[in-house]
Amino acid sequence: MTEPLLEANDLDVSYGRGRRARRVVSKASFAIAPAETLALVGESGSGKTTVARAVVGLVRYDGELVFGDDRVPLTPRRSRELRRQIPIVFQDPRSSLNPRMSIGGIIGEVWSTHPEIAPGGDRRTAIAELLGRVGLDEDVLDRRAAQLSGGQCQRVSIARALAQRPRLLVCDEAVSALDVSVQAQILQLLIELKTDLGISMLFITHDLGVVRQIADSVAVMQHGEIVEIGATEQVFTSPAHAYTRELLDAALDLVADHGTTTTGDEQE
Amino acid sequence: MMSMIGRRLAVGVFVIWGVTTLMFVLIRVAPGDPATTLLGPDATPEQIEALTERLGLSGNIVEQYLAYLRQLATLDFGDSFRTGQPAIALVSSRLPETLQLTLGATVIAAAVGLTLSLLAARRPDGAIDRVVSTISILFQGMPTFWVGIMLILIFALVLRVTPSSGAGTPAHLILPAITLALPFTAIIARISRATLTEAMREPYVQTARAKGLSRGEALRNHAFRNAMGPVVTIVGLQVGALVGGAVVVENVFAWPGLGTLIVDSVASRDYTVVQAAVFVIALFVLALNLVADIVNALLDPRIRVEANA
Repeated sequence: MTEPLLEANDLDVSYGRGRRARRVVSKASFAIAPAETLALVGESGSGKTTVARAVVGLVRYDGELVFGDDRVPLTPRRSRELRRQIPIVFQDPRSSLNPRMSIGGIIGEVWSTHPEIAPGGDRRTAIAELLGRVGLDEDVLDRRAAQLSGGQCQRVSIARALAQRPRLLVCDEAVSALDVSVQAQILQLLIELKTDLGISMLFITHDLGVVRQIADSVAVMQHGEIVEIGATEQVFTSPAHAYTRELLDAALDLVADHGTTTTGDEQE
Repeated sequence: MMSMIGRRLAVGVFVIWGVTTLMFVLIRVAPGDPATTLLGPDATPEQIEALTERLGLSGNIVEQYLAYLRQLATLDFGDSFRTGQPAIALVSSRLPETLQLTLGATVIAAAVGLTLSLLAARRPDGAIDRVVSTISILFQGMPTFWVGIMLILIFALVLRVTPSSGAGTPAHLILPAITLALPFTAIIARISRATLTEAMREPYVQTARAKGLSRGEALRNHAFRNAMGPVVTIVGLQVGALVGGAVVVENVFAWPGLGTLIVDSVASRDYTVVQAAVFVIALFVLALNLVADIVNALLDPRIRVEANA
């Protein structure tokens, strides 16, 4: 087994202070190898988004969260260089882009923040190339988020993350707010990027169908704890924890319901 | 955009009509009448009646109101009962002083209020945030006339660094402008702090933070401009209220503006001057609200996109 790129040991996160503190993540441990995609699944409120926020340095936590061969601790006060390597793509495509900035400005800002990875030649050409990589035309460069569709916005968010030359991409429900057809396209794009660029991913979702397509391994969260973790196929075929079985059954029911409409069988 | 402005202007005409009508009624409902006030306690009933006739106050109230509306339509406010000068001339001679005071107060309030909110929003619920919200409550809670008197005591009488009252030099403006600015500063600080904190939670700001911008950079480069829309609206609305506050402040500092003119005119039942002054203030407030709406539309890229479409 190769050395993990990211390792979390007994991660605890609480919101609020003192007596009003509420623990939302408790003793979460997991690891992501280079080029591996770990999906974090669970119902809303299970704490999976909070894990993502801890990984990208937006919340304080207790426990150990280390990155890379040097096992650098990922504190909220981490260096800019570390932040560059771990970008995040959020759920809501439109509000992830500053409404006042042009798409070119949004992507270009990455290189103002991290001049060491800025492309040498013409910025516009470099941005246009990145946009092409995520399947967008060059002419969105001067537009704003309000003039793009949800799917296009999400592609811009991914291009912005790629501009950072990431090693670990965190996707927090990145396809959940999109139409089913657009969802499939964005998912396909992420799968391509992962294979082409060898980026690791932490993929937060509640959608088990998506997990099966993209994830190498799955961690199941319930009430802030990881109740089961393992290779995707293994978790799907022989779930060990009762909650995982429940989730899978619920997902299967959905599939069955869809099935009835196609076969024409009446239910209730 | 043009249709928005047109609509606002149409509504504005109604508002002006409403305000001037209300003023016409209120000042006549108030006890005391101009002729008695002007002539003093020794006047005979005949003298009072003659003067009432001359001031155009002898007919019944409906006739007076219709005459008043006819005058208003031609922007003629009549002559001052006290001095005989055209009422509008008196008002416009005092207007620059009031504008100077409100403008000064607005600049102070915007500068201090925005600075406080930027400091507070860096760490919501942090130490600075708590200090700022305490200051805001204090500023908003202290009555203006009391603050004015306290400032005069401290800076004019004890420290002797500013004039105590009156107008003429820029130094005269300092104390009244600060007095008028304090509650406004608190309002701007609180609204702006709220919209900034909200903007800091937006995913695009979170992304900016995650990608390596400091809190301060994310605040300045991303949150600030997006958070200013509601603040501009509130400032536009509140500058109108500031003119109301100016009435009190001007009297504390004997500042020769519209406020002192209105108070003096009400005291002497100088109906025409009060009506002209209120008309001008209403016009001013409406104009400011319109400007705030236009600025807001220009600031908001989403509104702008719709306007282009």
